[in-house]
Amino acid sequence: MSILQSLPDVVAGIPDGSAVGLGGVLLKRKPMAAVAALAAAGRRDLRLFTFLGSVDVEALVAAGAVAEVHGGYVGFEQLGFAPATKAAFEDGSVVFHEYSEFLFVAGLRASLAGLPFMPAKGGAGSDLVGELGIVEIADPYTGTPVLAVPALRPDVTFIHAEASDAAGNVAGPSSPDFLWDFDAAIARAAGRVVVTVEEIVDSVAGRAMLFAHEVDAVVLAPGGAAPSAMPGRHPADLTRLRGYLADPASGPGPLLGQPS
Amino acid sequence: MTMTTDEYLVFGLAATVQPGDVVVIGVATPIAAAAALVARESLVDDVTVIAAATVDPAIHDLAEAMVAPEILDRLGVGTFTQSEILDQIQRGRISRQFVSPAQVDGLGRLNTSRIRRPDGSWLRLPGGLATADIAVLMGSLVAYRADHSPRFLPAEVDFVTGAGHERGDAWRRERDLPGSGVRGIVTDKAVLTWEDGWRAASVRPGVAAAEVAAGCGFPVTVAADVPTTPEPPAEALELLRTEIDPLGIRRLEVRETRAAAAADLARWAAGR
Repeated sequence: MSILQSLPDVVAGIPDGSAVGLGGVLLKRKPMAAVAALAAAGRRDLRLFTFLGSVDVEALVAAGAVAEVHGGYVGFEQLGFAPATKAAFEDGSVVFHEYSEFLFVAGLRASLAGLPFMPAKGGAGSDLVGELGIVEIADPYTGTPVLAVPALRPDVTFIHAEASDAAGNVAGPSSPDFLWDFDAAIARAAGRVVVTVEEIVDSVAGRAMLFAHEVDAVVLAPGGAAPSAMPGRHPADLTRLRGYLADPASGPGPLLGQPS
Repeated sequence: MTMTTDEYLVFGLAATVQPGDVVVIGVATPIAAAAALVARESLVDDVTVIAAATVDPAIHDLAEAMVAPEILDRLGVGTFTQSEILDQIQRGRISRQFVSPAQVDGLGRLNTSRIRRPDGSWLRLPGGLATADIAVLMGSLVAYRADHSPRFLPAEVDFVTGAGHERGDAWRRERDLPGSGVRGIVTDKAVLTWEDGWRAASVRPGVAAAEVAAGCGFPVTVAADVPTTPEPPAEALELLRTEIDPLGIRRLEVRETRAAAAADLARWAAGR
């Protein structure tokens, strides 16, 4: 099977209840084409993993596709709360496993390094540590207490990138903006990696962020981050975001449509 | 020289900056950003500013960075990756950050996660980001909010997102944690410092000392001769008003002026 696939084909192989990693940070570079495909396929009980979520988590929660969210934040930055997500967390229909940034990244790093856990200092003394069931251990050499964060390993991760070549080598962003490298980390931590791209190019030589042997599927999806921003291509679509936030009861449609 | 509430907060934070500090500022916190920039530009020698993950961005209009954050990458000498900036913090290489939690309590504990409603249910906030981390890793934290009331300053936070001084300094030393927790609080009425308890370091001009204690949900020491907060140099205030934040987006962080500031920003962004 070619590495170049369609989203419906990819999503057909992701059962209900899967642990799904989502790339992008806040309102940037969210894999919204993939999110729309998961929602359209009627997936249920997904367990989402994302560092700092926004429209991605909100659209899937509003679509009724989510059982759990693991991450450090779900909101619309200055635009405010993610309404469906907030309501679902408050009524308990979706369980929020709230991580601090360091605890989440430590869990990814354990996975990246092929280790069962990663020591971390961040988060010490927080009520989040107990909620997450993270255990403090003693450094076997000095006795210094340190948190042991278990590996985070999504079944599949979706990221959205600028370009790939036909073999599946994925280009990094042309300008390395804030936290751009998170996408490669959550991709490599996962069992399967699906990358939606703005374009397929002849070569990404010299700017590869993920290599073909690490990628399971590439899907051509121009505009696939909208309404979140794709730095270097387009800003966040504030009109669509505000339109959704003005009337969230009408459902996640404005977050799942094609770019305006 | 009359300062608005947002300006009082900016200079209250800026006055905590020490020579040699490495100050990191988050996204969408214009008061923190303005404080770090004005301190570096006109108040303190040898200050390194890290904006999001960009090191030492040139002085700039905060509205530009709010609307188009990618300009920071061009204004700075370089940008850390996510791994690098987190590692810097965990290694203890960042000395100061200004944070605006939902609550900070009598023991310096921070809550950015959830608020208990009167009926006992939880109001869920969007999430704590790195609050739990920087509470134990950042050299010094200074908390701020234009809400000098037990809502922001309760006796005890509803949820401990970030550790405070409840276990003492020995607990931090035993874990080799580089952070010393929340050392100061700046509100619209006063500047508080942590000295094994909260003490009013200075009071905003026009605010009675009794108001400071009345607005805190926890015990606070207010000396009979507590000084008024010193005014910043006129040129520093001018720099804030004309170069760092001419549009006044720092008003986004003050409830009474948020809507007006948002409208100004939207109008300015549309005409850009």
